[in-house]
Amino acid sequence: MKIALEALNKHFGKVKAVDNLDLEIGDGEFVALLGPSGCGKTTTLLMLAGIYKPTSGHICFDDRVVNHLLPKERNIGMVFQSYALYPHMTTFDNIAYPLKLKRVRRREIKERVQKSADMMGIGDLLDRKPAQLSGGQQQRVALARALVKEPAILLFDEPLSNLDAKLRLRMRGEIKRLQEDLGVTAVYVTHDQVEAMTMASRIALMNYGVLQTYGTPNQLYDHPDTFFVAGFIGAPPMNFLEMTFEERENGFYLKTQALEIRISAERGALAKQNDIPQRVIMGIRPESVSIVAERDGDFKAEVHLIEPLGREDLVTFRFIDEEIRVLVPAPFDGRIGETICLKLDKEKAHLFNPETEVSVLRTGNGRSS
Amino acid sequence: MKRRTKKIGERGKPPLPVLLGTRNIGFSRMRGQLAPYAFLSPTLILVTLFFFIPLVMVFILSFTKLDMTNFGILEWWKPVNWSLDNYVKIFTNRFLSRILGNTIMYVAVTLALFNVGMALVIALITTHIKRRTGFAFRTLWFLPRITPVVVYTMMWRALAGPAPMGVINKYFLVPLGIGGGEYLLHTHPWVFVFLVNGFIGASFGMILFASAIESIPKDYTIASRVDGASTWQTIRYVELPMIKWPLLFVTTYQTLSLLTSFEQIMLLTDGGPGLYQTEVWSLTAYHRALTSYFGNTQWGYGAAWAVVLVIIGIVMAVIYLRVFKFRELVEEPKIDQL
Ligand SMILES: Nc1ncnc2c1ncn2[C@@H]1O[C@H](COP(=O)(O)OP(=O)(O)OP(=O)(O)O)[C@@H](O)[C@H]1O
Ligand SMILES: [Mg+2]
Repeated sequence: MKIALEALNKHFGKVKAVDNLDLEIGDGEFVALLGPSGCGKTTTLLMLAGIYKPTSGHICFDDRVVNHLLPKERNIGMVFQSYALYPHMTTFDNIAYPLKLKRVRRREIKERVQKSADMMGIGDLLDRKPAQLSGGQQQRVALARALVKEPAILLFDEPLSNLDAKLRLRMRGEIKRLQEDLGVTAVYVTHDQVEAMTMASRIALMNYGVLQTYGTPNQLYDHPDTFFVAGFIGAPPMNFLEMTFEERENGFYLKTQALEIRISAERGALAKQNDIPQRVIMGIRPESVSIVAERDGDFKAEVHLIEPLGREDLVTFRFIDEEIRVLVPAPFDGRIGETICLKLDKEKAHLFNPETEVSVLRTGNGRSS
Repeated sequence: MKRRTKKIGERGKPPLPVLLGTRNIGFSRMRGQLAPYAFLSPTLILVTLFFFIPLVMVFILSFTKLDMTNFGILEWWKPVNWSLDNYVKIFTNRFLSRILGNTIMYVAVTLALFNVGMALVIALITTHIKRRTGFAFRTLWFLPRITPVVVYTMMWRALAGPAPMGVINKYFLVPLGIGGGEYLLHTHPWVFVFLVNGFIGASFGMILFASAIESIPKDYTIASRVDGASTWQTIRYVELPMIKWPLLFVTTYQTLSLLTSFEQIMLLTDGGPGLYQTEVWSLTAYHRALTSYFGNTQWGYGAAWAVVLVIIGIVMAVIYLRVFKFRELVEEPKIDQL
């Protein structure tokens, strides 16, 4: 089922939990709602589920406005962070509950419960109570319960946050595969960007109830159109340096006390077209900076901290009063206090207007290049 | 308990640093051992004086013929003066079946309709509307409980009064053409016994149920509604099972407290208006022991009525624990795999 949110608002008194949200989700698509705590993800999800009534705006399923529909009329399955398994019911009764409410016949209930339980690999736990299940098993029961009525839309509210790292990784894969197999539209709330990046076909990034950006994981990573997106997506996060923009006869330059880089004429022209102010924020990802021989370097910096990450080392450099973090192939052979030459991949640099926090490298269609 | 308190005595911060000196270890250890008893003593004394001793005395008295006429003469503490006569008298009393019937009806109806039934309904309604409105309503409903019982009961007597003074008659029944404006306590004494007790009784369950319902995590009710349940189905299948424990508690507790409560009935009808018409067991015990048509308050006989009531109460409590599978409620879940 297609979902469209149009100018959707939800206010709790003075709090604008969701502020003028526009979002389109294709049939069978897996969309992640990503954002920091309190940004309105759960509120959005609960409006989709029909629990909260929107303050204003429309929710459409397949071009039909469903604002007035009760939860039970929406054909939705939902999985909670807390699992929300009814503690007084056995696994079987938990999974059967949506069917029982629909007055499905006994025999059919039994078959369908067994089927979705088997699909989740919990077919032999049907007579246990939730308290007798592990967290991972409870999570599977919750999934089976959401799936048993064959919903058109699956909603997830941080379903994996309570699992340990290894299990989380496995469930991530399982949920994704399940969703693809069933071809069901999924909205997945998370504040874990890795989860969002790996699972979703598109990510809606929210902050303070406002949609910041909506695009594929790669678009968000490679071409963030706001300062917030650039800083939120990516771990370790992007480096930001405040710089001065200058146009000279022989090209466009970015300057600080310590370094001066020249950017391509193409990008410079684009930035100018977007009214780049004199003072800009330059963003560069840790993997877009490299250690080079002295004559190729853009600037020199002192090694301040080395954090081994396994495959790579995260090295924090200091120069004058700035800091920059760089991912270098492990093992990094520098020592703390050593001065090393660094080079920036200028084509991967992002430029933001510090006033509007919008990228000045965006092209006509609103997406930054 | 003892060990924990001892630890506190040894390790707890003394008020003055000088107490930390080595010389004080002995003192501090002794203090540690005595401390629990010192703290318990006020309660122990009170419980012994006002609960345990009276209980034993009532039990002994129930075997004697002590009353106002032989007070100071009868040596009631001597076993030679003990007999089962009082109990025989109770069970051969020709009003026994009526009193027992009254008691069962009083407890059952008040409990079912008000102390649990209405309490649950109010709790459910006030937790499914706006929080503040619900809270305000519950607070109002709680007022009769903190009103002095005499004032409260007199208020009901005034409400039930004959036309034109009685409020119910004047403003409701007479305008609607029901009844002849007679004294309602005489025509419908039981209705008022139920109402007077029920309106107070319901507030206890209401508070407990409401807080139990409010403490159910929101995720369960949201999950239930997304699963396709209506509000009523959510209450029926999710919320009620989750407040099973307060339901059991209120039912048990209120049964016992209704069995022993008689002050409202005493003030309202005093067991009348007909002969033993609204007389319940606890009221009989009171009547026999502390008032008498003949002026000789029969303490021994009254005590026997009270002892039988205690036994009825204990039996009821045991039955409840069985019926509600109390053991299962407090049982730890069995886990054979994590
Ligand atoms: N029922 C409510 N009444 C009042 N304010 C609410 C209510 N629900 C949410 N809010 C407020 O709306 C904002 C968004 O809340 P929401 O639960 O949607 O955040 P979230 O993005 O899901 O955060 P988290 O990641 O912590 O779950 C918060 O400021 C929150 O305090
Ligand atoms: Mg949330």
